[in-house]
Amino acid sequence: MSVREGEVLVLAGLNGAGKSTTVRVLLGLLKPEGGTVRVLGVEPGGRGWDVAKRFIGYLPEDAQPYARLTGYENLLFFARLYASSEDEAREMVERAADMSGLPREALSRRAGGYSKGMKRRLLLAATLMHRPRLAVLDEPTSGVDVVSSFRIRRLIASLRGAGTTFIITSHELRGVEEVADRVAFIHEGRVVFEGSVGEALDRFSASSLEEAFVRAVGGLA
Amino acid sequence: MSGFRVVLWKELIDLSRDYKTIAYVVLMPLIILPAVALFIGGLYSVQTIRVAVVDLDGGEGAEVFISYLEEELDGLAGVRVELLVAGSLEEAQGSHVVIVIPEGFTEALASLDGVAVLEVSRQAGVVAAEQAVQAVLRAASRLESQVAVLRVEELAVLAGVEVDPRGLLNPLEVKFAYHTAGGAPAGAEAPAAAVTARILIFSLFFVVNPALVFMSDAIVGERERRTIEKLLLAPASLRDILLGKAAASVVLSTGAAVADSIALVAFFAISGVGLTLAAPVLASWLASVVLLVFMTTAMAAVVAARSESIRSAQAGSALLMIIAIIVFSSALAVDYASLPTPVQTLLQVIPFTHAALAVYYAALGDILRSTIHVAIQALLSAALALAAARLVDEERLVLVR
Repeated sequence: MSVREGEVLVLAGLNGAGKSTTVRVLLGLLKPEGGTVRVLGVEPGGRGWDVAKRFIGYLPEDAQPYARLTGYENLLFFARLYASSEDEAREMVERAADMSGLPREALSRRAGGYSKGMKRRLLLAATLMHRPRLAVLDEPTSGVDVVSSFRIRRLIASLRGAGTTFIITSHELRGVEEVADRVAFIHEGRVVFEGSVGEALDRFSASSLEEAFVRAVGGLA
Repeated sequence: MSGFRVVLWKELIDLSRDYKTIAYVVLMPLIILPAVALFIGGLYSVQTIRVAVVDLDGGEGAEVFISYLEEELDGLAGVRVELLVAGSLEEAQGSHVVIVIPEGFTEALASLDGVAVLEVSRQAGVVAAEQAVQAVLRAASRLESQVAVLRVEELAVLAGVEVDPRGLLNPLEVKFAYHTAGGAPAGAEAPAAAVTARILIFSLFFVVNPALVFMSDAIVGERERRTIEKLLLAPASLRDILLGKAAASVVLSTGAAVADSIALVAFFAISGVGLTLAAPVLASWLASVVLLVFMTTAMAAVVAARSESIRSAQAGSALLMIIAIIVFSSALAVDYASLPTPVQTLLQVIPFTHAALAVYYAALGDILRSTIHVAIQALLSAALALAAARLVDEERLVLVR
């Protein structure tokens, strides 16, 4: 499986198919039992990985912001980790605040009181504020309301245009179909299809990515 | 920017806003311990102990005894006493302590070799009644001495000799003094200083608790929120993340530990234990507090990061707490230097023991040994921190089962 620079790859799979595990292996959080992984030309966890990490943004599934920190403090914390100076960190925070679409008043409140959609938008902004070359988003729209889901998709689309590569895992394909360039269907720990959205629709004689996926995993058999 | 400093900043804000935990760990002991001392002391002092004297004798000897008893009971600290001089046992019913002066009491005292009897009965299980009984014994002893002197003087007249009745009656005098472990003379404040040292050692338990709570929360809480994965992918090394968390835990735990220890000392001081603080004891205690926070934080980091579930992390922390309780509470009664060598060696395998020994030897005036145990704590802290850095890996931090 490969991802080209500047494209959006959607990893689709049922619950427990291995999407999150694949992502963790890609990012060096878990060691692979076999095979090789290279991200931005570097082996995760290997030589040069510490530098490569600066160009990666990662949004884990079900991640929560720090509840006792305000939205701004959450953003500032991650900004400071990426920035080389306080000024740069403050710039990142301003950019992230705009990306999140959250009102300034909300950002001054503790994140523990946010709705699920607000939390997700805050963390997504924290993931993308340093303009990563590669953004890995694990179920970015899972459990959020329609408005938040729309905003998240629009943000992904705008950053794709700016050259960011995305790997997005999702089991809700209707939402990500509009932003996906290519898809990989994972079933029972194996990639059962990899190609463009058009190829997926042709291959499985489907009218939507969701239908193609259901056919790919034998859901209509 | 420095990953360590950024993580430390975040952790300090995050942990310091965990008001409930801070309330449980710091404020509750700080308020409750002195309050309990005041409460218990207050309740004890408002109790009324009823002491009845049934005077069936009515003579001069009985009168003198009762006057001595009144003086002794007046001098009882922390308890109120009601003295009733009754003419019969029926009148004395309901009293905690009943003293019967039988008929013939004065006559027996007045004769040269008579034995006067006092019958003292107290209600079982009443602590303050025991205090009153001690007053009865002191009053009886005063009367006894007075009668003995009179009898010796009377015998001396009969024998036609001159004697000092006090020397005759007390041919052996025992003089008490205190000395240090090294044999040097110690002042009258030595027992209070020893008790203070034992209490300070016991108070070290309060150091372990916050360090375990804060460090476990810093790691397990991050796992629960799933932010640990995001953090591990940020440009901060695992070492910086762990050190930042540990440093924040150390800062807050030290503050909490000192506050809790002060609360404990206040508890004992309010309870009436005379506390005497010597400079070496205080210095060794402060050094042990800081090093114990480091040691415990490092142990908590290993336990939290190596545990495969949140429950097992909690169980591991609880085990460390139990070990700490055993070590530090034993200091209230056990004299370490008197333990057999194998037992001493076994105890020193437990890192917490060295904190206790540093204060213990400082209290004994053995500064060299105290310093050695402070140094051992420093070495153990460094070793445990290194072990934590080696044993904790990203995969273990990520996986929650």
